[in-house]
Amino acid sequence: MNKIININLAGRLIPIDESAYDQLRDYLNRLKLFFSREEGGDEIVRDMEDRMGELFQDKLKKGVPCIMAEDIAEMIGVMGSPEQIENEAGEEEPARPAPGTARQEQTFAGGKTKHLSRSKRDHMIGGVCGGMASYFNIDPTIVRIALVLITLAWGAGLVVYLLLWALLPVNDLDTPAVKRRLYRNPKQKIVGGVCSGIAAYANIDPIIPRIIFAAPLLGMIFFGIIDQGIFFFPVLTGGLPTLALLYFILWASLPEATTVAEKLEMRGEKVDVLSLSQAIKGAENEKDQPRKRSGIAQIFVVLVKIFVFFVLGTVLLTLAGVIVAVLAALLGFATTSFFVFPFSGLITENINHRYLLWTCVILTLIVPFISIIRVLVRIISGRKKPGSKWLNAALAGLFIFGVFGLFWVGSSIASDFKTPYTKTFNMPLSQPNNDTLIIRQMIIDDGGVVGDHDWDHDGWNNDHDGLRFRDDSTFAVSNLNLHFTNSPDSNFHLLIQKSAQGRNSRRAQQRAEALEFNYRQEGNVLLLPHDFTLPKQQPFRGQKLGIEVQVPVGKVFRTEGLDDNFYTNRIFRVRGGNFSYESSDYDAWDNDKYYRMTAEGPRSSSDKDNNKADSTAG
Amino acid sequence: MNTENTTSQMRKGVLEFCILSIIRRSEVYPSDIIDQMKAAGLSILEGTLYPLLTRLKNAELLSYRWEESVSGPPRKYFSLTEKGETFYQELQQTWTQLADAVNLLTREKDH
Repeated sequence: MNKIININLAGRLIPIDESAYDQLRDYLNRLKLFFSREEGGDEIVRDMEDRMGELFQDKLKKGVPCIMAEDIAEMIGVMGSPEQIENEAGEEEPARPAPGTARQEQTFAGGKTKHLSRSKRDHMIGGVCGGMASYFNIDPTIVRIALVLITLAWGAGLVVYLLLWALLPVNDLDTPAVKRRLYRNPKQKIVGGVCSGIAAYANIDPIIPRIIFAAPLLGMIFFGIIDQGIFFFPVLTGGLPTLALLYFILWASLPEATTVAEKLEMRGEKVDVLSLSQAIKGAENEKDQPRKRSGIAQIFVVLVKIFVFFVLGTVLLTLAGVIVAVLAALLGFATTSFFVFPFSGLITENINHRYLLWTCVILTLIVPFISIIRVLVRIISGRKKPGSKWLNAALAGLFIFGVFGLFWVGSSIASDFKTPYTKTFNMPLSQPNNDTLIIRQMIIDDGGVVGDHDWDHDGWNNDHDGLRFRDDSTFAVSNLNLHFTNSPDSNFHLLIQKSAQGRNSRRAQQRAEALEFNYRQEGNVLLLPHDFTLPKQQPFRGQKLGIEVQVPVGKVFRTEGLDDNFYTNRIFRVRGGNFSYESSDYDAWDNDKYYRMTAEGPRSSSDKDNNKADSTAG
Repeated sequence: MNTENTTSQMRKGVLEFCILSIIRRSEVYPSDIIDQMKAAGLSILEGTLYPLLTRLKNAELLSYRWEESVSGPPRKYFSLTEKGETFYQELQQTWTQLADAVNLLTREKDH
């Protein structure tokens, strides 16, 4: 006895015998599989179903009560089996290869030497990985992951990639497709199917990669239980995140083997009509038999699953954190650049350098930012195809330009520190009338206005360290130091030493002589500003001002309100691409105290002298 | 080298040309094409037609529109696009040359 069922075949109601239905379904499945490798494959099968429906309807009109197995056989005879269709209508012109068929195994003319080239077909950015994979006959995904890891570790991967991108020619011809591809295996998955995919790729039992990936985790549990983890702990704590990260990378980057053709590729089997139809039969059988596990095994699997999900969740959060951190770092760099921006006149020698510097900074900041965003969008949206090739090339080009520009400007700046120049000027100083010289800090606000004496100098000066604007284009620099030495004669002397660096001594000299230091003398008080100014448009090239006050032996000096800048020794050095800055305080004297110069240097005076000072200070 | 293979190769080449010719004459739906080819004595496996039509359509040589039919679901009616017309002209030119040459050669052989 056979059951008659009604089916809807492309909009037609067809009564069909059950065994005939099985045959029809089988035939349709084979057709679907066969055409799945072709663009518009679904449409072809739909159109064919339509025709089958038409043929069956003609049959039914002739008075047949239902479609029987013989009718199916007749119909297949009229339509042709997939193999016959391939013979009759198979494509041969390479001019328009369907994307699916391109993966099919292709026989290549023997003896052809392989050259390393960029793959036109298998590309995500420039096709470098695809080309390398084709050259070494491995899966491009493996090359890509390796490259990403190398880039993360040493940054060298990126350079190698860019170099290869620039150097290698594009291979226009279809490169011989890799027979075996790494996929995730959805059929035998516990977490993401990565391990079983690797197993299928390497033709080993899935338990092996699983153990490798789970080893640190299991070890941690095991040693945690027996409390002997101390010895293994570093190995395990290092291994777990690494492997978990690797697993996650693989999970994210490997496609799942969903179609039968992909499943065959995963095992490295030849993809043709015969193997496909065999595979689908096998797949159906697989579907019918649910995997059976004992109760304990099931519990174990559930426990492992929970644990792995927990760990992966942590890893995911960490990764999200890393991405956020990278974005934040970029943002931080951008913000820093923004604040440094007004001082760029101090960094660069001329306006062209300045424009170049900022263009390059912006390019090196924005391009990675855009790229990260694009990659994130691509991952989130699940789009595998990269965006416009030209856009990618343009972005990469701009980034390279930015990096090289920065390098060039940087080395140009470094070479501008090459030659130092120092000159000492003997400045006029009228002799103080009571053999006591008072050195007092002149209070200058940011507008350059000399203010009233503010004895609360500590609070005042703390905000004014290092570099700042005097007005729109003049920079005030506090790179100075004050020394007291023995005078060679019986007079006070003021020596000012100006130094600067430049790419040649002439330029260094110009810069040194251009320093402006506007000190003033009022009776026995020497008023010193705590900074000097650089003329308009002059960059900072280690300009430094040394103030040497020569005090004759037996005479007295006193400092009033001098801030740290006067006894901080700052050294700027740019050598071999390294910029170094050192500063050290030398504590030679205290403020508001009288010192008497002796042959051995300044000595603190007695309290009696201190009282005397108050009368002279005004 | 068997006869079957060679015959199949020969047919394969002209199949597209024949299909395009039928479509060029009037708007047709796939079963019409099969009927017309059968009537002309060129019987093909029907399954062959559908991938060819889809490929020609994807290559923008053909376009189609849906039309309601009295006996069943709507049908796809195919027509030639402008690009298809140029393609057809080229094929025809090649075919004429080829047919002339083949005729000439095969006749000479008869002598």
